[in-house]
Amino acid sequence: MIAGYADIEGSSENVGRESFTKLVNARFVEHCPAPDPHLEPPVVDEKGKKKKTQVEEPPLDQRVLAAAAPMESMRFFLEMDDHSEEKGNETTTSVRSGQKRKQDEGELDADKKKEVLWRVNVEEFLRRLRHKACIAHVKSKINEEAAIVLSAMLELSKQSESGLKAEKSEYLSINAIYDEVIKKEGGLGMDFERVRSLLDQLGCETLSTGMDESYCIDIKEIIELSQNEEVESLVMRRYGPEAYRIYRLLSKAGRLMETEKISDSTFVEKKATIAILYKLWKDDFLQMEHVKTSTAKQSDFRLWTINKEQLQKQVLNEMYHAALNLKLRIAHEKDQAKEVIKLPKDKLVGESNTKYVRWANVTRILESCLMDLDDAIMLFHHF
Amino acid sequence: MSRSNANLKRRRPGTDESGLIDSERAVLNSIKSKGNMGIWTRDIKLETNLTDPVVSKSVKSLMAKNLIKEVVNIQNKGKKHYMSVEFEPSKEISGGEWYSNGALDKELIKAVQDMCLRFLRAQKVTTIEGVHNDLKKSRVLTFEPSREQVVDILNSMVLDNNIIEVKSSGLGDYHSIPIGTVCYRVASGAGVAKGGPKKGGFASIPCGACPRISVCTPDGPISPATCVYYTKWLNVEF
Ligand code: SF4
Repeated sequence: MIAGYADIEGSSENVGRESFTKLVNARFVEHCPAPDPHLEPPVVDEKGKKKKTQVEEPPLDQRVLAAAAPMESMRFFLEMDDHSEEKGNETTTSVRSGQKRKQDEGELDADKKKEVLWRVNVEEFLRRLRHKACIAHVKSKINEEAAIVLSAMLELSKQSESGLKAEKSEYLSINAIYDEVIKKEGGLGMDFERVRSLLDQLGCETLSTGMDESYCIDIKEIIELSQNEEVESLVMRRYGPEAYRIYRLLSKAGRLMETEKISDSTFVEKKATIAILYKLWKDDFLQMEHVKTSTAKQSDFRLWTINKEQLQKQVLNEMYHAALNLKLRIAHEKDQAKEVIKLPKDKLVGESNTKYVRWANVTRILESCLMDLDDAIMLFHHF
Repeated sequence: MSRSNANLKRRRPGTDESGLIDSERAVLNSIKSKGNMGIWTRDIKLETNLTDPVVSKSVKSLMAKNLIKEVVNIQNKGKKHYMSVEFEPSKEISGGEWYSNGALDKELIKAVQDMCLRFLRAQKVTTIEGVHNDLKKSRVLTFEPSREQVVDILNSMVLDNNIIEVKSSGLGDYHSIPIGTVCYRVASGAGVAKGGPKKGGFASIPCGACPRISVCTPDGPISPATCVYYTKWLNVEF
């Protein structure tokens, strides 16, 4: 949390102001929520009992947060001069997002004398990271060009995304998308047809009205695909390629499937299929249903399915555990090498140098793994 | 079968016109009656009321005469099943088109998958029919694959993440394919057609594959500091 920037002195004041404006424009910082939000008291009837309303009220903490949050149009409102009142309105440069300017003027006047507190806008960071994750996924699944088109779309619909987890982008006209694409590095050489075909490969929904043709991308679906991929790669690592195939079959089917059918569709021998299914089931990757029929020749069936939600929770928990383990191992490696770390550079020779180099390498790899793991955790926790 | 009088004259006592003795005839009938499902020796015994040695002797002789064959029953590989030579094992018995002698023919599957992959690489994108035609034209296979078999193979490749299933948009690469038709293309990884699954952040570290993660604690007997998986991993890396 930082206070108003008026106290930044001298020439650095301008630089500071400029940078700050940039940050506000990019929505990386926002107004802090009100310290003393006003909550409407609950409606009480004559007997002093709380009246039951038709709609269930959200929990108190959520109501407080909602009341404290600055209005959307105020979140990024920046007064360029704290003494604007004396200098008159012309000197007040306002940088604001949102349309409800007029409406908020009153609120603004009242707040003017108050010192504005700013904070980092975590939501904006998360949104951008979420977009980045989508772009990275598309880049690896389709190609670089599709990633450029997607990033253009996300860029365009960013302003209208409300909340962090927007499911879809808004409908964007192909002209707007094209204009944005050619602004991007690597996008200049793309022609209209190419963009259109990439939009199609991205699985965009189309809407054509008369001359106009617009596209919308399902952001949530891309996130889900990335999440699936993360869990699938875990299955591959832990249980091997046949289990990977079986897991993907069930994941795609999204319903119960019978052992025999699974074996047939995955080219895994029946016995091996049963063994794999049981292993996955034992480790809570799958759910099983036992069905007995009295008519068919074979009367005992086992049906299998994946409960994605529960599984994702379980995987996320294990990922937190793994992140802790990585950190502990980093600390352990440091502890093991503490003697050589302390040594001045010129004393690092022979064995101590080898030890030092090993520590540096090991730490680098562990830290980069931690970063990758962090990305994976975000995928499940925030996106 | 046409038989000469000489043969008739030489017929052993108790044999019928095809030269089978009664017990053999009974066993053959029992086997034949099961058609493409085959029958287990034990069931032959029950059906014919013959003793074990007689049944085995008859089976042996029928095999020698090339009237019956032994088949592997996928449901129960340990039990000997017999089938009349006129029949081919049903899907329930054989396990289906991809099974040979009761075992999944992995070599064949792999070979067909590789061929499909080559076709797809060459054409960028193609339909089931496209792959089917290419397979037929190539004449590498000793049999003519059915459309279902092609679908089986393509689906398995999708599950392996080597190819992806898409719907034709009628544009670009898809211009010759009607809009909405299911087609396949090679899965690409960052422009290079490497295919296969990507390694996730969690799967890339020892804990991702660790069978002991649930008992691993910071200060316990199994801990990250003393973890053998980490030690091994870090030693291999450098
Ligand atoms: S630190 Fe080692 S023992 Fe613990 S969960 Fe990770 S790999 Fe397993």
